[in-house]
Amino acid sequence: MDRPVLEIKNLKASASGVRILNGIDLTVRGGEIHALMGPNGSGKSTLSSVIMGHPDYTVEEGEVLLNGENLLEKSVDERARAGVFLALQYPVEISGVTNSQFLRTAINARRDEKNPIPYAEFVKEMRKAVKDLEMNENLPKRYLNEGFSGGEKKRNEILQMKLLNPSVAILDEIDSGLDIDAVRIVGSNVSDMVKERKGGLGVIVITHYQRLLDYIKPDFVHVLSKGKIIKSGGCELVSMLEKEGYSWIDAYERGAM
Amino acid sequence: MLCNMSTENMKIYDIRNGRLPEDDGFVRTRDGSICIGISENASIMLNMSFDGDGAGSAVNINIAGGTEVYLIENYRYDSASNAASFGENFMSCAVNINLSSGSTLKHQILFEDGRLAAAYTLKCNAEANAVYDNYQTNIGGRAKCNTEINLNGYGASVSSHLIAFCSGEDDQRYNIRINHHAKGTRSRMTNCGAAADASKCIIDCVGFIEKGASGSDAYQKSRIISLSEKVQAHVSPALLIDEYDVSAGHSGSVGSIDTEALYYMQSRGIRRQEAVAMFTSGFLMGAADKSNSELYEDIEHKVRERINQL
Repeated sequence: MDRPVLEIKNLKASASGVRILNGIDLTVRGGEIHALMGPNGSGKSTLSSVIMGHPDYTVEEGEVLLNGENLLEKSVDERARAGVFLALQYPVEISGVTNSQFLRTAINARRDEKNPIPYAEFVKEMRKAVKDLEMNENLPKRYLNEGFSGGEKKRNEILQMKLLNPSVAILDEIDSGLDIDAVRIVGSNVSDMVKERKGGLGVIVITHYQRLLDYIKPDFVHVLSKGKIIKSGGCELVSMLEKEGYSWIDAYERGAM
Repeated sequence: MLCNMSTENMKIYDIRNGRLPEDDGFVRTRDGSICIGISENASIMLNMSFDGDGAGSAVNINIAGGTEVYLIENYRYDSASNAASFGENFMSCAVNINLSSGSTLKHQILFEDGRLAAAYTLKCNAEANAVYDNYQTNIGGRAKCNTEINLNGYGASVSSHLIAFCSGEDDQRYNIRINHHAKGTRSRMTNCGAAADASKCIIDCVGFIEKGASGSDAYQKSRIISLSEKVQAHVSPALLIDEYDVSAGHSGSVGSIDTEALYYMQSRGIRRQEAVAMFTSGFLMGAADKSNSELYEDIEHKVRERINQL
């Protein structure tokens, strides 16, 4: 476990004038996996969107540092090139743009203009990633997410993550819509990436369920409620949530006040 | 399946200001018009160059029954001075095509030179079981294009595609009409436009099904993306149906680039301008013919070049 890759300090944010994040504090170090859980509407996806810089959200207070640099000053694409990756809950379909074109452009956006990724190298990396994620070999030629099943879209997010080599990855409900085998494939690929990067990759997994976390074993588990992290712990917290759900949160928050 | 898609065996004719340098028995000049009579499978390219100043041409094409033809019309500005401004060099061309029964024509029309202000009229008559695939691409300049396709015989079909890109002060207007005059005829129309700066892009399309043309099937889809607030973009789809036993539908939209799509591309590190170019190019190329990969790549490259100039 290394230096902090991502530091979130007292982050408060709103959308359409409604406050959603009420002071999030979270530190992710290289090599760490943090699970973020909580009831619907607690602010989990909002947190991921704010980190990525989605224009619908306004940061009102707080800091987000990536490798010590202020992330909030950067545009969406600058944050991505700096090392943030967000696997979206609802990946967008873009007709007319092939997966191959899209990824090659994204990779070259991180390289010197005069040194784009050589074709052979790209094809080799793409093929390996397609194979690792057990996807159809015609994936590169298909239009981005168009006609993909829900599970294919989510696996395609992880494929992009593999090729773009981020410093911190936020996986927003990557397991929703996945069958048992797809959860295994996605989970083991993410887990392998963390191990292979040896402290170079920190991951935040947003999920409601234990099954994904059986493969991506978290070092820390946080429960979000009303835009704040109210409880943190280890894997035992996941088991507790599986048994009890989120009904204890109101009583917990009243007791904490 | 059309034969000879590549340009290797393609007959190429260089026609300047509507004048054919010499007749070769296959393509000839008659009464000031260029006439092409095709009775065997063929691939033809007409390289139509104009030096502006109101030059015009007329082309009449007759395709015999059962024949498969691949035709490319390529329009460009060509002058020794090469100093033309965009959209100020006027040319006109009228193309008439007769497709006999059972013939097949794949027809590419390329206006790739924004310096031309083109007045282009296309009329095609398709007889029984004739198949007409039409792809028109205009990547800049001014244009007024009128297209009329008549499906005159049982089973005749047309697939019509338009790619239109306007920028600066380009003004492009397209009128496309497909008439179903016989039973069992089929039409598909796909029009994709992108307009930037203070340009104008107007697409009016009509699908007409005549009384008695039962079993006909007509569908049209027209979309324009606006890339700036000063654009004037207008789509007017219309179906005029005089027969009960038909299948028909239309859709039309004008809008800006999907912001979620842009956000998604930027979230992968792609800079905004590149993301706009990629999205717009992908959208426009959705109406392109993918069967000729050389031509597809050439058009895509030109589309991207124009978009990157914004």
